[in-house]
Amino acid sequence: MKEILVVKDLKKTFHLSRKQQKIERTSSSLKVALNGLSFAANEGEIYGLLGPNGAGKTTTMRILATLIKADSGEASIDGISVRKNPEGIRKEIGFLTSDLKLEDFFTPTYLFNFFSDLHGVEPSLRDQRRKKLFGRFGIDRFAEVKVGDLSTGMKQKVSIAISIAHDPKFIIFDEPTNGLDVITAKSVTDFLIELKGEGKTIILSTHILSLVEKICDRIGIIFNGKMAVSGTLEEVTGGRPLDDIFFELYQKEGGEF
Amino acid sequence: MKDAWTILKKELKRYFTDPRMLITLILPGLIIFVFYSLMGNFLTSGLSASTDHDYAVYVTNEPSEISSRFVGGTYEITTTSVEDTEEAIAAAKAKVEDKTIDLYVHYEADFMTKVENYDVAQGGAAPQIEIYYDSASTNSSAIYQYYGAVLNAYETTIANKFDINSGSGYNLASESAQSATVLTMLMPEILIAFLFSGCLAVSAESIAGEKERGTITTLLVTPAKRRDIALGKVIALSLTSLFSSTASFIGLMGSINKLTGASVSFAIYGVGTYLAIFAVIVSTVLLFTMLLSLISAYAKTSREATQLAVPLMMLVLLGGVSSFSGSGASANLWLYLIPIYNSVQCFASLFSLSFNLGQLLITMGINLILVIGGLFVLEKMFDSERIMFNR
Repeated sequence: MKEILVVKDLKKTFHLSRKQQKIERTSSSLKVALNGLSFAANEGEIYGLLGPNGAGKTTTMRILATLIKADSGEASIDGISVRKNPEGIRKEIGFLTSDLKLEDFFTPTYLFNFFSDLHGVEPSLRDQRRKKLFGRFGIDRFAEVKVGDLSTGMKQKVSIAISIAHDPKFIIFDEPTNGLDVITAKSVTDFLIELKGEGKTIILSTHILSLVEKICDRIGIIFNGKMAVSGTLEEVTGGRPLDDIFFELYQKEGGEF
Repeated sequence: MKDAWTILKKELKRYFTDPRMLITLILPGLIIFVFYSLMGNFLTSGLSASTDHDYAVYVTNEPSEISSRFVGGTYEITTTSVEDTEEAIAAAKAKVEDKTIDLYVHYEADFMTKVENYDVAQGGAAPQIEIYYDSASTNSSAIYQYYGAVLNAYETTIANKFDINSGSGYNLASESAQSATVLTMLMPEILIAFLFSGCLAVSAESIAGEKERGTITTLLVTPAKRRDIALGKVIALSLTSLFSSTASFIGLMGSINKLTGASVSFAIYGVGTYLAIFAVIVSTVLLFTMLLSLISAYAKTSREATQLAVPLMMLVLLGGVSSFSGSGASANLWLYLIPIYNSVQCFASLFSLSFNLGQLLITMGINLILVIGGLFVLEKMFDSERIMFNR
């Protein structure tokens, strides 16, 4: 199997403002988010990134999406360096995070076309993709309704459709089912499996262990900005329940309940 | 550039197809027209006394030579004589104070005899007339002015040796020059303030609002170049601000005659002057939009952006004050290297009909250089995680 994502020794430290120090309850103005993180994902697989809050999952996702830069280390997607060629990376990836919002004033159709245009998708192909994705998520009926008037679940579906409007082969999903009801969450989960079936590589960050067990080919568990364990589900758990392994590692890393 | 165009179209669609946003853009112009017209009407009617009012004037020792001068005058005056005693004088003053009467005038006893015997060459105290009035009352103030004017005219007839400009027609300034003077005094300051407020209303919220709502992240993960994002946004914001400023400008033009109480004509300017004014407006709007976009990109919230824009607003208003003398624009070309000030001076130059191409070119050149520099900085800001994502 070809390694499409390679992450080597990523380090990232954030400077905290006084306000952030108060929120984090720390006197230090520095926060180490990633401390030498390394892992790899193979082409056509779903790689699940697990870890408690503040472990460094979102930071990793944001570095891969070129929104922020690592202090040191290297990451590449399909041979393209995240640091050296961020614009090249943006053309190749689809990125979705719960932080990612759509403008309330516009309709799903308008936004889909807008982002497709920025990705350089030909109008005929764009309309074809829109029809397919809107149909898949049941967005058709709301295609001309302003995003601000849509339900949370429908907004998330529109966000997913837009994030892969350009048919990327590498997709980064940060907590894609966060805040969704059970039915919408299932619809999203099923869609991830469909994408894998189309040969896409997906990096998935989530808190939901059952989701990881269900759809991920390989997983990595991060604590304090470092990879604690990585491998196939079988290699990591040895047949035991994933949550047992997770909590054991959590305690070993000094975590408290 | 294709991405800049895509972003520009989207931004314009947001501003010009949202009825609420459109109202926000047009409303300042409408408010200016209605408010300035009403204010002009109010000031005009408030400062001029009514000719229908029957003015009550108490007098003591008023000579017949003077009282006859008020008969058949501009105002209807009812005169009542008051005795020359301390009690009667105090009572008359009290009536002015409580607005029962409009004026009390006290002449010295034997006023006319003293006037005839007074020799300017010998010096000494001249015969006195004391006029008591209430400046808080429009009618009292008006009749005080009128009464004083009649007395001054009478004094002139007593010792008239020569006249200066008796009659009218001595002001050789053309009507257009008079209009230009009024407009040179008013327009640069008001125009620069409108341009800034139009840009502030649109630009301060733009990028900071997107950061607040999280929509900027969606844009930054696309392959669109940061330069194109900056360019698309700044041009769209400039066009929107220009639209809003134009609405305010039209509102001002429509109300300026009411506001100033003068007959000011905008027809005194030719097409060339209007084109030059428009060119300065465009370059100034671009500059303001650029500066406010940088502030908006730096701020964490729309509110913070508006607060951070206050010092810039003070600078703009300060620059505007430089045109208040009405004496036209500065001739020193070096001063046109100072941004904001140069726009105000260019407006003054154009409104005073003393257009200078050098001033215009320097102003537009400097503004354009600053806008290009600002675009470069904005591009870097879009690429800075500390500025874009540090909340």
